[in-house]
Amino acid sequence: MNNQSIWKWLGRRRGIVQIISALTLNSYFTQHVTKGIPCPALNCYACPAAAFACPIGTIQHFVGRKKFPLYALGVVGLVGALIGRASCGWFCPFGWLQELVYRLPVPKLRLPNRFNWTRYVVLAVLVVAVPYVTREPWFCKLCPAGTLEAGIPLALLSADIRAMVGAMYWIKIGIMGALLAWMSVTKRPFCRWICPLGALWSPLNPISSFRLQVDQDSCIQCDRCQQVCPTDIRVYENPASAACIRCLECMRVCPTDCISVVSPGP
Amino acid sequence: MNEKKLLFLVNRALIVLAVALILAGLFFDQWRTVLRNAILL
Repeated sequence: MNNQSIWKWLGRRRGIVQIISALTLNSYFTQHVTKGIPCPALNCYACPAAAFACPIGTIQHFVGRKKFPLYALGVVGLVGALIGRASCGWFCPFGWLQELVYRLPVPKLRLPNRFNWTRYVVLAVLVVAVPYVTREPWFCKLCPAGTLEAGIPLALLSADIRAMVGAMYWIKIGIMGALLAWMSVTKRPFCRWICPLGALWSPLNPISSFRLQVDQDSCIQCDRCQQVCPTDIRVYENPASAACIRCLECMRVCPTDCISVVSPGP
Repeated sequence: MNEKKLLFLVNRALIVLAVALILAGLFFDQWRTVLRNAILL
């Protein structure tokens, strides 16, 4: 079994990895120790079962206290340097949810990736600038992953929290509902246009240890890669694209086997 | 220096920088701050 066959074999089992990851990140029992570690995914740490800290929530916490988030940025940077945005494709429960919702048999809406710089705006404004000024984690207040994993379960579990439900709660529910509807018609809209964690990892994609390479001589540009790509990119145009989440779906369907996984070597 | 070698060096420099950030964060007890913040939520 050569290297490419191993990656293709693993790519076919990505769903299993996503299930294991979602269960591990929300495994509850270890949370009194492991919640001090930012996880490599957008997983709300206010979720009653969350076992790790959300890196974006942690960064906002430090920014709001005018402290540099050395530790959280170090963890995010290390993950990005090693695997780029592969965490989005393999470990993020919210990314997985988007793929599941997109399978619903409803009419689909393809949108170009032209405006996907908006996730950098979300990062700069809602994760850095506004929390720095207001001392409040504003991305967390609006985060649909937080609403789904923490806002709704906590309100269901606790009468005290239900009593606190106000306009902000219903705004969060509205955002989440709109996003769920968007997920059903467009591939991974949160990852492509909104996710600030993806924005932190995107620039590291071209320099990460885990990268894709396309043999341009073998590629017949059939666009099967784009059809299955969760972020709707043509991998042969730029294998190191900032939008690529390294899910290896393209590698799985490529009829000429021209896509391979590479690591930078001296 | 060819592009492949440059990519390799940048990648390794980034890994070293990230590990240095984590160690600096641990030195300033940020792990405990993260844990306390997450537990209190």
